[in-house]
Amino acid sequence: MKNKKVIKNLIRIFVVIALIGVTLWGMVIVSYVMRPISHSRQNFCGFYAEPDNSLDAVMIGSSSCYYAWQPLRGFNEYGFTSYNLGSDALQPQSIEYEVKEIIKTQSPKLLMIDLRPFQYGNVMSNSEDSVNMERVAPFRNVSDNMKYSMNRYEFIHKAAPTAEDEWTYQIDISKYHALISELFSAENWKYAFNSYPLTAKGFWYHYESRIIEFDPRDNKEEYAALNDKIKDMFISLLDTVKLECPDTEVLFLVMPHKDYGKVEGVYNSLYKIIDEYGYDYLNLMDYMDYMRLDRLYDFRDGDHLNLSGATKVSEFIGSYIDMRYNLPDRRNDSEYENWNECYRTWNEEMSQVQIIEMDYD
Amino acid sequence: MTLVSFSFICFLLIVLLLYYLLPSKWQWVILLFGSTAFYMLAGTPITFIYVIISILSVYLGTHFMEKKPNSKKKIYVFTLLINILMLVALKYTNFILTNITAVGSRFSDNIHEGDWSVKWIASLGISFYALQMIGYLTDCYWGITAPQKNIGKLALYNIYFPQMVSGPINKYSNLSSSLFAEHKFDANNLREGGFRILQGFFKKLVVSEQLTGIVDYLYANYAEYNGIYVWIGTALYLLQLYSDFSGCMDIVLGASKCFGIDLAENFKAPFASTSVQEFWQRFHMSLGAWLKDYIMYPLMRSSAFSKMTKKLKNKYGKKAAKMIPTFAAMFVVWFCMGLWHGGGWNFIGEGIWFWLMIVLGQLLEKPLKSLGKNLHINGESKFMHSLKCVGTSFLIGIGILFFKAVSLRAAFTMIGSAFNLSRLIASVGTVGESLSLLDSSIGTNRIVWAAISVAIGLAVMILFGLKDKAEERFHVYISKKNFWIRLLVGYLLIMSIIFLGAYGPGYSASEFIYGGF
Repeated sequence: MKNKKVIKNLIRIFVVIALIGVTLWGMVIVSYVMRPISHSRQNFCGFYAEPDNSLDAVMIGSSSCYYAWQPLRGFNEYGFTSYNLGSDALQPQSIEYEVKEIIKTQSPKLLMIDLRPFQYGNVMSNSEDSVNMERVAPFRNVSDNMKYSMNRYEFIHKAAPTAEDEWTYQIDISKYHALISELFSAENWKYAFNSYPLTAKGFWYHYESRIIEFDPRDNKEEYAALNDKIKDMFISLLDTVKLECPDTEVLFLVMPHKDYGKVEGVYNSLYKIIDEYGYDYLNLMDYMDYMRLDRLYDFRDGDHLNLSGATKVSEFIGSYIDMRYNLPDRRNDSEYENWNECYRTWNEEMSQVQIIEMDYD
Repeated sequence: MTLVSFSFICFLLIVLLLYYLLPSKWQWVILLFGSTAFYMLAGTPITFIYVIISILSVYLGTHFMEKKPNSKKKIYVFTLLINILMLVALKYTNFILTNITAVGSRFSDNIHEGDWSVKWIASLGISFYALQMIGYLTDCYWGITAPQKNIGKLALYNIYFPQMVSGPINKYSNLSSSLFAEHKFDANNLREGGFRILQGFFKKLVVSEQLTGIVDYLYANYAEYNGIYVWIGTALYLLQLYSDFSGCMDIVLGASKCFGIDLAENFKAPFASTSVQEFWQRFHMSLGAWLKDYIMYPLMRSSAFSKMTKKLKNKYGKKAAKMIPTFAAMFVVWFCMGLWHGGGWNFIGEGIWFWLMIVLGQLLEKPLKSLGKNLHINGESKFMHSLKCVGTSFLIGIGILFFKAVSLRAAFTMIGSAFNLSRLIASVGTVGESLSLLDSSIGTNRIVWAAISVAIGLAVMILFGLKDKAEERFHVYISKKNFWIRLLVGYLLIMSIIFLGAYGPGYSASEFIYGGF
């Protein structure tokens, strides 16, 4: 009689635990399905879909990067595999945790890191109206697309903007549970496991062209003061990279953008720190003429290149990497045959894109 | 920390753990410490001074009333005044100042309405604990209750944390034995309490919070949303108010049940009422009972009323002598009821409206019955019963419109447009356009989600309500069922709250409507 009761209770406990497990698993999937699809989301899902240790290089950056670097061009011309882990308006505090996220599944020989988030962080932290690092949406572009893990927990715990409660970032279904209609979208279900291959490997393009007036670069040699928060964040990133991936080369990048002249001092200060750590940086603003980047045709706006500009920049970055870093050539590797396939599909799509010139009046 | 928060659940679990793990003779002490900690976490700590003043004054007052029977009345009045003045000063000073400046502005160009105001912070739950303390003091004065000798226990009665913020208002004689008794751990209490808390979260998050944005928007933009929208807004507000307050009570009573302490019920299927009077016997029952016990009956027994009754009897007969003093006492009660809800003429307007409806209901009861008889209408039929329920809800709706409206003037404007036929017809034609405007105002595409949630929530609430009307309430009924049914119901409630509840970024489910009083 007593045994019967014990067995009965054990069954009950087992059922409750199983129910909790299945529910949590189901809720993770549902929460992934409910969030809207965006470039940031697709880039993260595409990254998670890449086979383990298959990427030779990974770029971490904001939209200015994922509208510029074409991983498939790099593969086709030089044979190395790379991925654009880009998210809109990337904040400086996110980069360190993205590095940690990358090395969980990949062992890239090269990390390319966008420097612009540190420039924005530095300038906007001093502005009165909007502090970039305290904006919720760009933070969620990263945190909500990361897989649930300790790294994600720490990222949110240490770096989340204070405008919303921490638990709403950690348990992000609190943000998306209102979007019930997304559950009826077949497209959303593709991302149910937060992993879905992306043919273009994180590259997105603009087809519009606008005339851009660049700020003059008057103070080329000047060093601007970095605010303490940004400086600490940048040093923490460099320390993390040194410690967590000692065999990985790091290349900091500055993509062409129109207000560079105004903030060159900030970049000079960042370059100085990079030099101290013995890493590389590549300021594409210095190679505008060499790349034949046309301010009348190759830009979508002051911050983003269009497809024409991206092709020129990618050709330059590709050859730079090929010359400077000893990355393997995978073009004839049977394990990477799908990269050749992806390139063919992508190249065909790109060849049909026509640049449309806007506001020439 | 608020009642509808994860931190409250954690807090409750910690207090429960201590409550049952430590020796049972210390249980009331744990509750006292827990309640003080709750106040510090949920309220403004400095305002605890008002609570201390209230407890000290009542403790000393009742103590001296016992010691000096000759000065009993003076001590009682003095203690009563301290507590009433504190309540009035903290809650109504701005209302009084606004009215003084409004009158002053008519006589002097140097004074403008609203010129004077104070920024005093009322203590948490003052409207509830002040009434409890006044009730206790009065009971001691009348000799109904023996004064509590232990000031700690009296303090616990005053600030018992589940009920402190939103009531119910418990009579000392009903609560004290259970509150100070030693309770053994009983899984059934936890089950019942747990289900009731879940029920409360469901009502609050799935129904009330989903309606908040829509109702607030309609009431704030009453000039634009008139005619049919007044009816829609009021019907939704009626539902919101009920789900909010009864949900809050479910959390309060459920939390208290976990400690083995039963608090007074505040609701009993109010929408099953066939008259306004009956509605108020089923809605916020503890406040109604308090007002009757400590305002209406003492007034009726007062010498002034006795004299009035005598005079009326001599002049107009027995019936008038019975009715007029009753209606006069009821007027005072309903005026206080309105005022209790807040310092504003719209609240007083609400009280007077309900008084008027109850008086008319009583005056017209007999003539309507005989009219029904003459027309061969069976007043006891199910159809007529339902019709009476709908009619009562309609009258209640108009009353709460005063309560929700931004001002008394706004309330009259809204009522005017709701009964204006041309506006009604014109507004019906714009429903589609207005819905999309409303959708973009409360959050794109959220109105469909809100509608689905509220529809499901309403269906479940009717289920709760049907059980509540019966002797055995829903949470009791479910907690008696076998393990698998309990598991299923609990699971469904939790999932509904997660997916249909309005919480998270963009929502603020932290406040209860009645928590603001």
